[in-house]
Amino acid sequence: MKLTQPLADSMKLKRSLMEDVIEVYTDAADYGVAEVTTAATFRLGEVYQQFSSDLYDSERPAELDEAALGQYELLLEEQVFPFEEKAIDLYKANADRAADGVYDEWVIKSFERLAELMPARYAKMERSENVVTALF
Amino acid sequence: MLLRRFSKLFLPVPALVLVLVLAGCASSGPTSTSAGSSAASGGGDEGMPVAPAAALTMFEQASAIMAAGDYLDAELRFKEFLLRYPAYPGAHVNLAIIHANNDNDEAARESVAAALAINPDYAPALNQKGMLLRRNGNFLEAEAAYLKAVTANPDYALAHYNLGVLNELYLQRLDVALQHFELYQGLVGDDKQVEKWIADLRRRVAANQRTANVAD
Repeated sequence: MKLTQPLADSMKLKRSLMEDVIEVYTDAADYGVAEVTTAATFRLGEVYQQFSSDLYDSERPAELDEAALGQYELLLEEQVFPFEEKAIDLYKANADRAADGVYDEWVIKSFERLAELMPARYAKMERSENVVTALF
Repeated sequence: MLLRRFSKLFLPVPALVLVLVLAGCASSGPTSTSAGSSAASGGGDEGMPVAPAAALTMFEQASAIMAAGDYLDAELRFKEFLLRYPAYPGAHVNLAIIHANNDNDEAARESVAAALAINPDYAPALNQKGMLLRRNGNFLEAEAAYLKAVTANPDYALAHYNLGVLNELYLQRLDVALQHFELYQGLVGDDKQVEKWIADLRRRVAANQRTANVAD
């Protein structure tokens, strides 16, 4: 669902829908089965990430001049930030399970999302020779 | 050290020079550099492996094709090479790299196993083994493979790098990750990206230490 002007009304509807989804996934995350928990945690992260992305890409008010639009976008970024942080926290919660031996597709996907959202910390791939040029 | 494993074989001086030059110059990464220095330090009057000129040529051609990115042709050439000269682990590791690049982990594991059957301490094969194990979530086994690589060849920088990644992201041992990234940096000298990671890890390790002190 795209966020359009007036943003307050549009956001209210979207948040209401989002809260329903969050409730379902939160229940699932507490289910106590590792794979259900990691799947639900990842999906919860996705919900918050999608919301932050939708908010950032929301329709801008038509009547703003360039300076006012700049101010509007700064305020928008402040609104987006907590949702993105929440998404990161959820992906991190999944990634942290790797150290406990949980490494299913949802944990792997969480690492991938973190590499996109926090590349300086998570975009670290192992290195190998491109080609071994010595015989032995 | 690696060369001692071939101590039954002896190489004439001109061929020895050729092997050392190839080991030192032909490599594209830190590993090959370290392999070169290892060969030099293990030289002297110890035995050297025989590498027939035809084998060297064939291997070099396949390596050049692989370096150029033609993995399909390179795979065929390394397979042909191994039919004639099966005792060179470098070719097996190159096949492992090609298979891993094609997401064929099973074939990559077989190639790594073949390389390690020839030389259980061959650092590039142990590094590939560690990477494959990590991809499957076998973090402690991956750590063991990388540690064996740096034990066999302390100058093998890539395994230190990979131990840094493994310990930071997957085992959450930040202090150990820091040590290995520092060792890597000490070996390769100038990796700006790793330099930033080291600075970040130092901050986080210090913060964890402060938290632990407060808790005490």
